[in-house]
Amino acid sequence: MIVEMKKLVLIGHRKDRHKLFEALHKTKNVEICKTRDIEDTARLDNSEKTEKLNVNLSRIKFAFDFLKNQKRAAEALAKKTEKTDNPFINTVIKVPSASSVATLSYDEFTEVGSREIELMARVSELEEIAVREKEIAAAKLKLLGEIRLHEQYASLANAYSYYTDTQKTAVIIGSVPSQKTQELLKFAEDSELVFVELLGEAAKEARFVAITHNEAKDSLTAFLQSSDYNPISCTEEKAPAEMISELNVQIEALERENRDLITVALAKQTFMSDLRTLYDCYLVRVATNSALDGFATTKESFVLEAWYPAEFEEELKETLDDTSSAFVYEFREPEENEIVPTYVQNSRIVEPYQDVTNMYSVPNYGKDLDPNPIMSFFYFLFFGMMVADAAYGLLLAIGGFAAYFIKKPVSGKGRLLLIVAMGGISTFIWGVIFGGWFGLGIDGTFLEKIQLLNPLEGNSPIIMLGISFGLGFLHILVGMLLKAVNLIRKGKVMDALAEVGTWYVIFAGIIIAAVGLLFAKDIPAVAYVGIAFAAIGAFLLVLTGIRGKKGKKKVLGFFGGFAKLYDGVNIVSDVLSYARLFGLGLSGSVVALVVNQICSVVIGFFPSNVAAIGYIFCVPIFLVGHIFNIAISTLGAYVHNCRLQYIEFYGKFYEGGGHVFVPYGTNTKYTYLDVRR
Amino acid sequence: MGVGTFIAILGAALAAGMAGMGSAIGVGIAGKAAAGVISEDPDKFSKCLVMQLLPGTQGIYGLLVAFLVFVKIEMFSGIKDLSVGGGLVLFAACLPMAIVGLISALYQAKVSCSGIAMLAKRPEELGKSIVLTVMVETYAIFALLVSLLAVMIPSIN
Repeated sequence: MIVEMKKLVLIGHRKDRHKLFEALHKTKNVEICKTRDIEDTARLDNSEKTEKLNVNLSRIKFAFDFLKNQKRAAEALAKKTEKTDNPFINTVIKVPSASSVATLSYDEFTEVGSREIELMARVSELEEIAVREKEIAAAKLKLLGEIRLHEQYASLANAYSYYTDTQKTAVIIGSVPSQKTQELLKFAEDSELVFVELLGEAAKEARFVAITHNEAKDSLTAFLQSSDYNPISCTEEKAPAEMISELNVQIEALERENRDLITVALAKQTFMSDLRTLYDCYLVRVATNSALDGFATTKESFVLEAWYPAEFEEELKETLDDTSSAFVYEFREPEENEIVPTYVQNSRIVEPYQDVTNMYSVPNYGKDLDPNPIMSFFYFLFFGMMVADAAYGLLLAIGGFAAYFIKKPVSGKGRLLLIVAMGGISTFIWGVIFGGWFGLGIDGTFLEKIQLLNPLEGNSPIIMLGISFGLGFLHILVGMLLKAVNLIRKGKVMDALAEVGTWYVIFAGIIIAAVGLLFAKDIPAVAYVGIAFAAIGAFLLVLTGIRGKKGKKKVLGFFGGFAKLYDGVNIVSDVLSYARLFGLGLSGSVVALVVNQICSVVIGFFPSNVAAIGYIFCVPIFLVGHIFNIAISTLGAYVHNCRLQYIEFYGKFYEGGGHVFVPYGTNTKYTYLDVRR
Repeated sequence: MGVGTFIAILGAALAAGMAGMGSAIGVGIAGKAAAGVISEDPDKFSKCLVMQLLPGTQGIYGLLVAFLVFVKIEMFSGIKDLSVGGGLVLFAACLPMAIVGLISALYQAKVSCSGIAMLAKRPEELGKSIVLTVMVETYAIFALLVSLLAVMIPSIN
């Protein structure tokens, strides 16, 4: 049912506006909209404040991501250092899971909001830690590079400073590309004043020490420069090995610091749930700002417009009177050109299916009837036919309801679980009818007695197709009926008769004719009556083309009416589309058969005296195979069911294009406000 | 073992092989697109995975048809020796699944890729992108239905 909405127009003093926001937030039943333009009023501009709030929102989000990644780093570190003498101890702090929603009272919610400065300080600390960790990582990388350099000269036994020039000689330490090594050695051989010793090769570079007499120094450097050499620029008074151990000490210090930082960062997880609430506080403040921006204001007063469910009027009046005596307000019906939010209210069974409709398009207030009650019935009916295995149905229903009642999602969440769980019931019923139990043979058991139809036997595939098309035809008929109902509701009775009534006459004729041909062959009159009905219907349909046309255009309209008969083709193709009910059901049961067949082949491998071993091997095959089949069948049933509702059913009558009623303050991510607490 | 049996198994092999090939290529294409989106936002993994899986069903349908042919020729309990005509009937029955399975998987993969790209911008619209992708699958299901009925109904010797 689409709830009747009314509009609140309120004029208040500006000092009362935050009291008003608080009161409206607590009601959770009022959506603030933009006030119409009023002469001599101005709009506020809070975009700067909103900007700041958005910055804070993304900072909190960064903190969540950072903590997540620190947690992973801590786990990795703990695993890596497990066997060393200084293991990293990863104390696990329990944090709420990413998808969980906390239920809070209003006071708890605002209390967290008032600790904003303290909580954001925690976020800044995390940001600082993140910066420092990046610095450490960069420093570590640099040190590791240096170590790698020194390692290549590790065969030098003395300090770098030892290899210095003397009065008559010069020392050059460095590397040349490997392919130049031979040339370098040859150069040294040719020149009596140069001595070269190779230190080893790595990464296509050969390290060398060259000692030369000053006289040959210029020719040596000239040669080296032409060979792309890299000198080492270290003049430390330490040998490479000492340098390496010293650098390692530095790295160790950095790693220790990093460890400490991770521990400090992870300790902040205790603030996680408060930060989540704060995040939602900011979201509410953003909503407040955008509501404020929509107000028409003067220096001292403001005008608010808001939607509320009509049944909530008494309560709202009381709330407003309690909040301030300086409010002037009126309640009124929505006007013609106003866009009214859609608030759909249904029984607990139908409610989950609202998500299916909303995924397509939200019902349009004023234009649409609520399609959910009828759609949910067909959704339920079709779901089971597309999985069609009683055992799967039981598992889905038990699993779905169990998950729902264990998780206890806040109102409005977890609807998909309920759709699947209820689909499980439908699957069970259809499964019993078709005798599908894990695809196992049920011959001779009592299950066979309650089986009404074996889809793979004799000509029952044809019956199955017939059932699918029949249900599809019914679905489409109901869709057209809803269109007529909606038209009549708006007082367009003639439209309803022209667009739907004529088709019903045609269908009635076709059905009568079909019955006559199939079951009453001896009374040809039945078939003729049917054909006559269909012909009259078709003629009426063509005639409707004339409606609303004048003079000569009536003739054109008459011919245009013939085009409407073409819709019949669409209806036929829509009905054929329901073949998927049978197709998907069949494919699910055949996959089950395949799994069982594989199992029996495996059992067949073992001689009969050790058949038990075969059964043990079969257990994982059976489980994995059937779980896979349940998953893929359920996904298929869900999406193809949606498609049937969207294209074949909603295409007949549904307009959509509305927007969901989102009361002020309810658009939060991590918290659910329980005002009764 | 006669030529008829060979032709029947050839049909089954084509149904499983071509539909499986289409699905393999399709899931591959969609997987590449998904990896691109996940590299930007790893949290979208589960949504992208669903989208990637969608072109994979044709392979399963092909497998089903092949399996039903095996059941029909009683492969699991001493294989039937079919006449050439019988083999050709089963071969013909496999063709819709083989051809439509291959082509629909490829096209479905293209829609699936676009759907994944849509998820990158609007992760809340998973439902719509699934429905768009599944539109293509409709024809694979019809082909499956035709193949299954054509394999099951005629009595073959």
